[in-house]
Amino acid sequence: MARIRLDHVTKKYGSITALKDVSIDVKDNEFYVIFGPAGAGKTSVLNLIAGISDPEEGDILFDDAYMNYVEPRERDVAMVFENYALYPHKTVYENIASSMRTKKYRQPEEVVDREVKRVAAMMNISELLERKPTQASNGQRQRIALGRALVRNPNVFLMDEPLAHLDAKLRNSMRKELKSMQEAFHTTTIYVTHDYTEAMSLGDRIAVIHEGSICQVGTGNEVYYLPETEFVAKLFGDCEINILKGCVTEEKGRTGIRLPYGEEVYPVPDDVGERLQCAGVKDVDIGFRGWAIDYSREPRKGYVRGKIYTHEPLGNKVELTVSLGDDMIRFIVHVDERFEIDEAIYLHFNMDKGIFFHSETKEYLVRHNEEVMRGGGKNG
Amino acid sequence: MANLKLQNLYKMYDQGNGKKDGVYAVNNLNLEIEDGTFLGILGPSGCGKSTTLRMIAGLEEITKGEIAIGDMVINDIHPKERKIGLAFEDYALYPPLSVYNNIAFCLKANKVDKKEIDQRVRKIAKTMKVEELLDAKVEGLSGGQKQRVNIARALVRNPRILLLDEPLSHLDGKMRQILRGEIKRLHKEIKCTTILVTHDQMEALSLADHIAIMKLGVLQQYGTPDEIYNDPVNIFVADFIGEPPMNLLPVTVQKADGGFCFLLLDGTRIKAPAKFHSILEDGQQYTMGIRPTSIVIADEKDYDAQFTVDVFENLGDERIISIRILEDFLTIVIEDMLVFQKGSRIYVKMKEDLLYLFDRETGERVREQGQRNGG
Amino acid sequence: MRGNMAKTKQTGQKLNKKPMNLRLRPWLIILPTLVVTLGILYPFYQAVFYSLTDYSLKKPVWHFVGLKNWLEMFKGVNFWHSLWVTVKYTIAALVVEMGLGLVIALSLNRKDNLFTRILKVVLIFPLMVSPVIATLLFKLMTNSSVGVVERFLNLFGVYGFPWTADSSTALFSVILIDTWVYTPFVLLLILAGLQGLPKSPYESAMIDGGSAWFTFKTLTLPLLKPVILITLIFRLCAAIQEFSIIYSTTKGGPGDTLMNLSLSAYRDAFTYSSIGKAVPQILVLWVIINFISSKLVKAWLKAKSANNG
Repeated sequence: MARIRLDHVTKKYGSITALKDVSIDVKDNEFYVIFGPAGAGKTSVLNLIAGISDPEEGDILFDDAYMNYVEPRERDVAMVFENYALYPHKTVYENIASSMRTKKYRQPEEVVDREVKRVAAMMNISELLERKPTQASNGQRQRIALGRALVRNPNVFLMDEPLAHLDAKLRNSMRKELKSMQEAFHTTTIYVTHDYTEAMSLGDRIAVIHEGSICQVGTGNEVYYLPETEFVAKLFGDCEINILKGCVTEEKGRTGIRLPYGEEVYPVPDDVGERLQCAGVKDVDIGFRGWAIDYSREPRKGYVRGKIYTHEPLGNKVELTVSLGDDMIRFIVHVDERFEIDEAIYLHFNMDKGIFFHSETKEYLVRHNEEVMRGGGKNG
Repeated sequence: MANLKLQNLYKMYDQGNGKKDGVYAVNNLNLEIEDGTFLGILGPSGCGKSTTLRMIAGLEEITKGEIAIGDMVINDIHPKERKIGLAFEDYALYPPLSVYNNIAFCLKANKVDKKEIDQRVRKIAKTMKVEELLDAKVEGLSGGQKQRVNIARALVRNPRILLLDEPLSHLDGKMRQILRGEIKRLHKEIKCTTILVTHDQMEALSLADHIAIMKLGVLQQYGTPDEIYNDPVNIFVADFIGEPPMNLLPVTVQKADGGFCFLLLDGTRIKAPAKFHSILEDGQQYTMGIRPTSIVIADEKDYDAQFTVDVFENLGDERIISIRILEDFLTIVIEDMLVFQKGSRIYVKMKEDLLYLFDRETGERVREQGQRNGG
Repeated sequence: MRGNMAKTKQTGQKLNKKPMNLRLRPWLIILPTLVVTLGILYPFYQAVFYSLTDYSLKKPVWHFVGLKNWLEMFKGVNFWHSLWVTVKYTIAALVVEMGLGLVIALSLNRKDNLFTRILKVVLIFPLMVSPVIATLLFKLMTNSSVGVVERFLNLFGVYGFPWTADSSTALFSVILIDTWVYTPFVLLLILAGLQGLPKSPYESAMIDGGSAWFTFKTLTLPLLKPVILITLIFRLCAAIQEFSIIYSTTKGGPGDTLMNLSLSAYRDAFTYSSIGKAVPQILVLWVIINFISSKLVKAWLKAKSANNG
């Protein structure tokens, strides 16, 4: 375990800049997720930490030691790839012990035995030690592979999209297994993924990376409820967040928003109104996730009229796409109702659940109840 | 306009040396599809869905049985005479030709008048939103664009039946969502009988009027999406449909305070719904099914079961509580903004009508009042 | 930072650039390959050098003569005659072999049964025979006293067809041999190409109602372009330099009829022992082949990418 730092790192491949002035600070024992779309630079970061490539500018530090140009095998990192590559002809015990029997890291047998048993207990696979990996379930195999990587007590544990090519069902259960084992790691872990559910579920903190730069670093709650830019907001959530344009109005001391679909002014909560007045903006972008939108089949006060463009029933929920003015609003409703294409539908946007962005810079301005959302909600 | 009927349909593949290999890829399939409706044939790979589609198209020989459109049996009719349009899974576009010529291929091959070709191609290109691509070569197109051209080409034939072979499987998340909506609107607009084949239950649920689920060549269940989702006839269907998948746990029946309870493998007890009381007996073994969304958080005053939280995930749009039952997880999906700690105790209630029982050996659904499935 | 398992060697101090041993490593790894490559190219450099001298295998002393050999070659008649023979041979061989190979491959590809499978094997036989042996067989079969072909032609009232003995029929005869030896090669490549074509566009074409000719014209031919081009590249490079067939039949004769550039260079080098005069002809061949094949490779790459729809 170690604190891992990237300090103003730039990485180029020929004329392509993969990483631009990137700084990352991973705390000791933290489970740090690097999240971004394909090609954003995630694997580059991992390669720099592992020592597979070297930065053009900037420093790599493990605790306070500089790792620039240090060979990968000197850095003591453990890297886990997709299919884990367990040795099928060796027992689980042998598999885990294998990393302690290589020439470089050879340990005496009593130490090997002690460590293997310790890790097996940690990963909950003690009963499997004498079996072969093929006799283990998927979840167990994942734990064996993790155990093999962790038994060396590496400085940092690197995982590059380990669940990427599994089918949806397996991906879900492996993710839960991983999370279940997280606490037992006792190692700084850096996990790369393009799947936002993995990022939110597993990460203590998430670094959102796009086109070689870090957009935001925060907990799952922070990136989801308090995204720093519209771009980050769009990356999280099953249905992409709906961004609407609004006009800030001031009437009798009360701040309100007018949407481009009608004359109605919607009042905003005090904390939001204060911040909007402070910022002095006239136009804002407001992001509404599915649960911030209410709908009605009948006209209602405060609801704007739209037309159902398409509806997709998915069992116990329906994914609706509503055409409203020039925009397409997409959201999921958890009901058992039936809808028709081109049917009229009335939508209401909850200002206290919306996220307000600066209309030009696309940066975060405010939302209602910031602190509560940072915490994620009440205890159940 | 007429219905499509598949009657006692069988398909066995040739081993190549003239001998059949003994396994039915499609085994006694019977389906009737009403004119203008949207049918989804759903199942894992190897279940016979693509084979069925290809038999309807005429690309595979029928081993036994009949396919008929209206009164006309089409078993021996050449594909080009069947008036079907097939959108291939790998798009099967003509690589050296432009988009325009891909769509026009069929019309040119049949020596249609040049003016009419132009009219029809442009009309269908407009419907499928590929007008600006007409002069482009197909190699440079994105997956979504290729799929539109694929479907446009199938439609320009003015088919009686439109066949879609896994239309969304090779597309990424966003494009998949967009195209799904477009196919839905397309069907409403052109009202053509459509058959979609897929392994993705989400596609079938969202697009089809009726779904036929197949496994290893055998039809498991045929019904509306609602029926398939809420009233599965066996474990295979219950497990296959629904995202996240249904919790399926082996249980043993136990007598308990004036009723029964289900004993999970790790000893946890779940109160059995009253509707099952008449058929339960102490010691029986079943597989219990309940969807993650059918379990609600309750309190210690009134609950059906209590669990210890193993994993709590906040995924933004929904929150997932996972409880470890030996090697499996029991999953609960909640929408309220609550936070749970690992190791904390929770009390839950199960929605009675949405709790299912399946026979341990056959996997068949066990219904209340001792009734077995009517089929 | 923990270290009781791993003995990490870093000092923790910052390194400002990659250590020398790491930077040299890539070069050390490819060193053997570099050496071998330079070794292979050495005779080439030698050849170019000798073309600027009057080096002869018969004389002990040689002198540097600059471009004299080259200028004499271009000014003389022999070079242009040899070039013309080379061109005639190449075009004739290519046209016949590509056409024949394409037609046979298309017919064989239509059906897959026992007959076509046997045919495929039989038609590849000539590839296993060396060109020299093929030439010998040809000479035997066309022999005016005992040849099978001679007997066959007799049935039609043709006696004593001169084959390679007469300059008007010599080219025809060697092209015949070349065709027999190399058409299977063309056939093989095109068949492989046909079998590598994607199947589903053809299924779509079947549903679309395309006739065999229409489908061939609009779909197959463009799709085959890369394979046809690559076969052309191979055959072209080989036909331009063809040596063994012509040498084993007539050594370039009768007279100079079949003296292409390869044979002419051979004669200069080994009959007249003047290396300096032989090399320029070979180098000209090299330039021609280089130029044409690079154009063809470009066309091939373009055709390949166009087909990735």
